Amino acid sequence: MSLFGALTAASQALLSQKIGITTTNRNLSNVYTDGYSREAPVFADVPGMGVQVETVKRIFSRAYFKRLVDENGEYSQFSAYKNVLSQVESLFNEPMGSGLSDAINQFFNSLNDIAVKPDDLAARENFLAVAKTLVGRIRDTYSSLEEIETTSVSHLKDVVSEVNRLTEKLAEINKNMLLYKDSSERYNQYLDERDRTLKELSSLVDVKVVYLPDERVRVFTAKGFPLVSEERSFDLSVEESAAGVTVLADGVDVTGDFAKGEVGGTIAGIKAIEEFKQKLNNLVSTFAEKVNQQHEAGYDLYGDTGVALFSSDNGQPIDASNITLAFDDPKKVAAASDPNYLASDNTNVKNLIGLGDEKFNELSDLSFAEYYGTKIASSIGSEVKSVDDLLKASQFRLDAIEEKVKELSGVNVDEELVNLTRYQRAYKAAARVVTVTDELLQTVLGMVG
Amino acid sequence: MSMRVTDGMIYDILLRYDRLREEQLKRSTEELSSGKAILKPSDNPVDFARALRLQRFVDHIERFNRNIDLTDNTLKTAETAMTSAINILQEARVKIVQVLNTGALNGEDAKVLADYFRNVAAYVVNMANTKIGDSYLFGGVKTQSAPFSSDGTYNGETQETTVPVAGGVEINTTFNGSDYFGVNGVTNRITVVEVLNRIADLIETGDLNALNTETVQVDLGDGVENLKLLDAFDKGLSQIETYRSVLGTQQRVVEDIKNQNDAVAVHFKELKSKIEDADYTGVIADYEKAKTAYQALLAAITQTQNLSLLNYFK
Repeated sequence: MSLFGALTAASQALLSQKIGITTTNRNLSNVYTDGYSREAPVFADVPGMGVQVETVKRIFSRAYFKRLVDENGEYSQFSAYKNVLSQVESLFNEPMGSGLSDAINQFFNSLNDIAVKPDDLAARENFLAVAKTLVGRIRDTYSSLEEIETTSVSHLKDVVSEVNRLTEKLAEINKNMLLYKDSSERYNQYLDERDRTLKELSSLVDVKVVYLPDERVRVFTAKGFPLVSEERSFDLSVEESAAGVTVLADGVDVTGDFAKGEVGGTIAGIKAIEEFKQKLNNLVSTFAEKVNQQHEAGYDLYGDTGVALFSSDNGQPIDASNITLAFDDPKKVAAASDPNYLASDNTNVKNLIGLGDEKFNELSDLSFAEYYGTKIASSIGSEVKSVDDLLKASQFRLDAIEEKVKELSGVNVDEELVNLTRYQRAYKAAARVVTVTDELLQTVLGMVG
Repeated sequence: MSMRVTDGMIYDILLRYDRLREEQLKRSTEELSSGKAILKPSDNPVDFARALRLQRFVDHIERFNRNIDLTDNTLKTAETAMTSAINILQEARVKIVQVLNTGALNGEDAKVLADYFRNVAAYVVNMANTKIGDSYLFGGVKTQSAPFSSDGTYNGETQETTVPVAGGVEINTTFNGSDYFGVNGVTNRITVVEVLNRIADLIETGDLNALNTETVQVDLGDGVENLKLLDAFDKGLSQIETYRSVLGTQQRVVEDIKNQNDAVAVHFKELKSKIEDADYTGVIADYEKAKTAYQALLAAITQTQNLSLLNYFK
């Protein structure tokens, strides 16, 4: 090899080691950057030429990433679902003073004062106050459920527009990354950005990702509806109807495609709210119907019979959304069954008290209080507990796979420092070769002179 | 290949365990400050439902006891009225026996004696018309007008009113006066009042012999009998005494029920407390454990952070 050839080889080495140092620099700079995959220069000895950096490799495992995306979707799903459910739970939290159990007990217990002294206006007044409290509690609970539902629906809309933003961004990345195919540094940055976006997307919806040979991606819903296809993205939209919410893609109902992610979890949460609204309505309409039936059978202090205690304030059949007290005149409480003894007969009021312990077909053969306790309060508790357990397990798996990803792709400062030293040494050595070769050239040229 | 530990992981571990410990510390603090182990339904859905159920039982029982307290006054007033009537009737009986053994009375004595018997009769009617507030006690469900007229005629109802004081047990808030004051089914009047008035009538006519011979038809629910005046009086009085002891028994039963209710309520409250109250010793131990673990975590992180090649590059 000629002396000039040696100089060329040495300058190649200087350049290559400098790329090594730059790469190390980038790794060190991004030591705590989320979603950054560390890079490593691949050195190759070029025949007759010394060394060359063939490519800067991105240290990354697609298999780990796929698991990460899966777990992430599941985790976000449970997390969003739990978020809705715990809001519902707080409405039925007896130990903290909310809930209907106490108000239902009070309703039946306060009737006893009338039974002891049927013509006692104070006792009747007190009973009506207790009934009013119960009605207020029911209405509050119901409107809170509706509020949680409204909030969840608008949250769902926000999430879906975030999905649209991310799919647009992916289409954009697909388009641009090809332009940098030959500049490994920029190209790797695009890949990192693409994967960060995919991960973010997976926390919102179920996605199936297909990688093309040129590293561009196609994204589909679970059942194959395209969200991103190369350089195009397809928007989702949310529609509300009496039946609930639906997610539409190009006018097609794809709600069923989404189980995971924040979208899936929120949809499940909205369904749960509907279910608890129905249960509450069932309890309240049965309660109003049975109490009214018995109350109508009795006679009030005016001698009137057939008077209902509860009514609806919007003309619809009584449920949790419209229940109200039909009167507030204490004399209209129908305590007597015997029209001859309006002020002293307590038979009807005792029958009303008896309803408190009665079991009803409409309530799965449970009493009012039992139905509330087991089918509503304890049922939401079980649901929250089970999703909480799932969430914890999912968190554990997500942490584990994230750790795996970081173990492979994360930056270790010590490792980088060692590399830095290595490149520095090699750089120094190559520089030394340049000076020595230079001296040799001087010598040779001196010989000529 | 051994595990590659990257710098980001250290902070992930810190965050993860920090979150965990924070959660444990928060939970323990909540339990300690509220005194409750069940803070929301999901903490233990089954026990939550049980606690609601127990609370309902306790409310129920306490309600029964309140009914007992409210009706206690009724039972006591009724018993006092009957006792007063019985006491004066027993004194009157002594006088009746004396009169039966007397051959003749002068006009003045006869008038005094007749007045005495009529007064006793009026007193008994008065006791039978006892009220609490504006409600008569001995007219059954008919509480708004006097159950007995001055001659002892019963205008009340046989239907009584009751309130529950325990599962399946009800006690009276009004009483059927025809039973309690021994109303004669033949005349619909209080037997003893009828006899006392009859005796007064006979004394006034001066026919003291008739006192020994005259009979009245009496039916106290066991068929019509022809009885001499004293026998009729005794039968009527003994019926009143019988029903006073029914009242006494009712009071004792109610007392027993109340004690029993109290005991059951305490038992349910204990069960409920066992389910939902925080076990302080356990919670404090958990709290200390979490605190220690948290401190250890912070110490470990600080140590690890200091381990770096950077320390050796000058």
